[in-house]
Order: sequence, then C-alpha cells, then structure tokens
Amino acid sequence: MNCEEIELLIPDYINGELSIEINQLVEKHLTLCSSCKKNLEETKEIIENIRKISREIPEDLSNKIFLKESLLKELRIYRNTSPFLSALHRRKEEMKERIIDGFEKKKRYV
Amino acid sequence: MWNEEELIDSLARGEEFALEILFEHHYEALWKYVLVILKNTDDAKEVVNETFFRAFRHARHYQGKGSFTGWLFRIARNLSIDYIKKRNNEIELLSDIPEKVINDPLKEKLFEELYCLKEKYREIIILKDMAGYSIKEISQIMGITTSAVKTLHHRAIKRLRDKVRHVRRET
Repeated sequence: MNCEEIELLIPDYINGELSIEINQLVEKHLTLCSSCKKNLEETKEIIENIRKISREIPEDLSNKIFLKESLLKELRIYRNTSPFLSALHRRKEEMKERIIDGFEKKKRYV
Repeated sequence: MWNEEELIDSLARGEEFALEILFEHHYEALWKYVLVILKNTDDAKEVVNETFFRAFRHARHYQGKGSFTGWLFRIARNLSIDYIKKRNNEIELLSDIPEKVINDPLKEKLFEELYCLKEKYREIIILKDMAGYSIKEISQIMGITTSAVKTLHHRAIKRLRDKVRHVRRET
C-alpha cells in the first residue's frame, strides 16, 4: 500500500471500520512511514475536535418542545379527521380498557 | 427495539409513540445539520420545523421507499438551499458560538473553517462527524455512492487539516 491509499483509509481506520486484514496493512505502513503517522494524528485530532464542537452546539430546547407538541397536535387532528383511523384508534382504546378491566377483576378474585 | 419501517407504518396509522420516537431520534442531528448549513438560528428553526411537518404529513404516502432518514435530510437540504437562495447571501453569522469553542484556538479555527468549506464538504462533515451517520446512510441522504461519500469525506478532512495546521503549531 502506498501513502495515497493509506490516506484514504485513515478515517475508516480511526473509526475501526476496516477489515482485520486491511487494518493490519495500514498498521504496518504506519510503523514505517512517519508522514502518514503524522497525518493520522492530525486527522484524529480534527475528528475528535469536530465531535467536541458538535456536543457544544446549543440545542434549542424550547423550539424542540414547541415543535413536538405542534406535531402531536397535528397528528391527533389527522387521526380524528380520517374515519378509518379514528375507528381503528377507538377500537384499540376499547381493547386496552377491556384488558385493564380483566386485569382488575382478576386482581379482585386473587 | 423498533425498526424505522415499523415506525413509519405506525405513524401512518396515527400512532403518537411512533412520532415521538422518530422525532427524538432525528431532532438533534437535523438541528445541527441545518444550523451549520444556514449559520443562523432563526432560519434554522424555521427549516427544521418545516422539515418535520412535511415529513410527518407525508409519511403515510412514503412507506417502503428507501431510508426515512435519507428522505428527512433531503427535505431539510432542499429547504435550506431555498433559504440560502432567498436571502441572497446576506448571511448573519451565528452569534451564539459556544463559549468552550471560543476558548480553544484549534476548535475556534475549525468552527470558522467549517463555515468556509464548500457546501458538499461541510455537509459530509456535519453528517459523518457531527451527527454520526454511517457512510451508507449518508449516501442515501446525499444521493451519491458510498465510495463517493468516502472520497468527499477524505477531501473535506484533508482541507480542514491543511487549514488548521498552523494553529496546531502555534499552540
């Protein structure tokens, strides 16, 4: 393997996504080539720091909550306006109630 | 453990749990993706919200047409491109850069260079290294082959490496 090929494989090597055979070839090359070893160290540092930046990007929690609620609201409207889905949902709710009732009755007998 | 296909089926039947699982699974990655592309919190908010509304509204017509993740991100991508065109490059830079990034010269330079990368390179870094998607998932999102994803990622990392090399030397 030459340096150009190794450079292409470095991100996969860092992520442990190479086959055992290819991994061994990359490792062998890295022990012999200081320039590729330097590239590996720099790439590792870049990827690690990008991941750190990603973790530090603020999540807009208030928007997340608002959006989730709005989506759920829209889903309920969609469900209620579709005769098929609202019947399906009603049947499911009735079944749930029957299961809970049965469970409660069993508990009383025990 | 639910798989995506079952969740989409349940969502199409109006099941709330499916919406909640899909939303929780994708929100953070989608938010980071759109925010770094648009560089503006308000625009990002609008695009993320519209993406989820469109995806969930059309989920019942979607079933079995490839990866839902890919589809979701493609909607976000197209909406972001429309936003960039609309605002005619009058970009207001992201004002709320995290403090931990500003206090670290290497991270600050990386953050800056990430914005300066060509769009496709920036996109691949966000999807692979920030959002943690696999090469296969990214190929579905971007509509390119897995080997093209690998080549793009390699080039993007190389560019960033070259740009921040002098910062590493100084620190």
